[in-house]
Amino acid sequence: MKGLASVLLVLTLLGMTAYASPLELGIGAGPSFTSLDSFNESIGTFNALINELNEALGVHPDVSGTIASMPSMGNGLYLSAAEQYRLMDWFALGAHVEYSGSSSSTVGFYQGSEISQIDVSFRSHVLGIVLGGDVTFVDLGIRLGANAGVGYFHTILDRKVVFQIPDEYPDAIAGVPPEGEARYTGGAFGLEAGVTLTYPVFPWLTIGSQVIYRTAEARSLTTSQGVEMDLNGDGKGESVNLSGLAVQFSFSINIDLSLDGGKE
Amino acid sequence: MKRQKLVGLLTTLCLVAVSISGCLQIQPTGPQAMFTASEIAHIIPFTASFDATLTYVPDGEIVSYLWTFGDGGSDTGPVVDHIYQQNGSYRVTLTVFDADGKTASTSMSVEALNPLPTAEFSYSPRSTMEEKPVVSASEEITFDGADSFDDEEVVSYEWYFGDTETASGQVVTHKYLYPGTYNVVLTVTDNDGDTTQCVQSVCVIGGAPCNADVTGDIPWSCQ
Repeated sequence: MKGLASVLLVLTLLGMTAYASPLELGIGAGPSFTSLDSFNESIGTFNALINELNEALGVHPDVSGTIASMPSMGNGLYLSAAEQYRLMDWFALGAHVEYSGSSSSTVGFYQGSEISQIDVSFRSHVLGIVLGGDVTFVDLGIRLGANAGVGYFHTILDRKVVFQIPDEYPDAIAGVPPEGEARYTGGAFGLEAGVTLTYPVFPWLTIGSQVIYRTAEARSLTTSQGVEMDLNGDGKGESVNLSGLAVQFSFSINIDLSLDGGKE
Repeated sequence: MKRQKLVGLLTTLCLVAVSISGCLQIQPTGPQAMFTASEIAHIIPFTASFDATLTYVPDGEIVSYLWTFGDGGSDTGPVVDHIYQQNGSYRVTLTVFDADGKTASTSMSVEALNPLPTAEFSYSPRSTMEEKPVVSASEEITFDGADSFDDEEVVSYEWYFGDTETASGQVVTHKYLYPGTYNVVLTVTDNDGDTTQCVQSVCVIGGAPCNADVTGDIPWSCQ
């Protein structure tokens, strides 16, 4: 699938080059939010356990230490590099690659009859390649437009869990997510759409901002040994929702590839 | 130009619609069932308390808690008690339902342990010398394990008399040929295969029988 997407991308870009219309090369960066639902549920589970242990052991005379809760995961950095060909004043076709990453972690220990270590960290990397079009529908110096495309989003999720419940905790707990360290990879095709606001500073330079929404779900993530991701330890593989929003601030360089140099 | 703007407006509306529907889809998918148990291994009968208030629900609340205790019993509610009467290994399962009808479950094993039998025995005839019970060499002593107990049934009594001799049965007899102190061991086994031992020192006094093959330096009184 990834190979097919790459071939399609190359063919499309070659075709556009042959058309020899104005080329726009841009890069952008900004904050992003990705759902990562199953990871955030796992974080919620750990936070519930951590709160329980902090409360129960906080009044225990022989145990010291508290563990900080984990922040929810999804907020992170969005980076993109784009190339598009303006076929008409109000329409362009192109492609971009994008990256969004996010992480969450907590670490600490309880000191009782033994040291009980807590070290939980999650990290996500989503690398996407998107083919799509861009429509400009208001051009008053500042251009307002929209874009949409289809893409493949390769996903890498790292999970590390060390969760040692102190012997001083009086009860047994069922449902504790499994310990271990693993890297899960997978991918999914998805859709992206956004609203753009751009301002051409010079004929060759445009700055702008963009709000992008992505919808995609990686249904199967596995380790390199083929072990399916199972965050809660219920024996069933879990999917990850890659849907989310990103806001990026970008600038692009415009290169006129047409034979007449852009002259009317 | 009007047409262009119309297309643009429609596109914007579509994007807004897609974004809203997409944002609705990125709600968390369901609860994570967790519970604590006060006992996971105990001698029967015992009461185990289970508490599911630890269950994590990302959005909304848990509307139903369903428990099965592995012994045919079940209950509902966030905190429940259950009495295990029979020994065995039981799987306790909690299933939670949130307001959206999503469910999650988790389970743990509880070991209901069989109580061990108690082993006790008495022996006779015996007399007292210097406030210590003693028996006579060459006299037939009766050992009785009737004071042993099990909640169900003691199925075997195994005796070791401390002089290499053994016997089986609740009531057995034995003669000591030589004086001395012997550690008598009674091992009782119940119908679940669990065993318990009882050890008592028996002091034997008196002389060896005339036909005994006395070859060693054997004391003639209790040590």
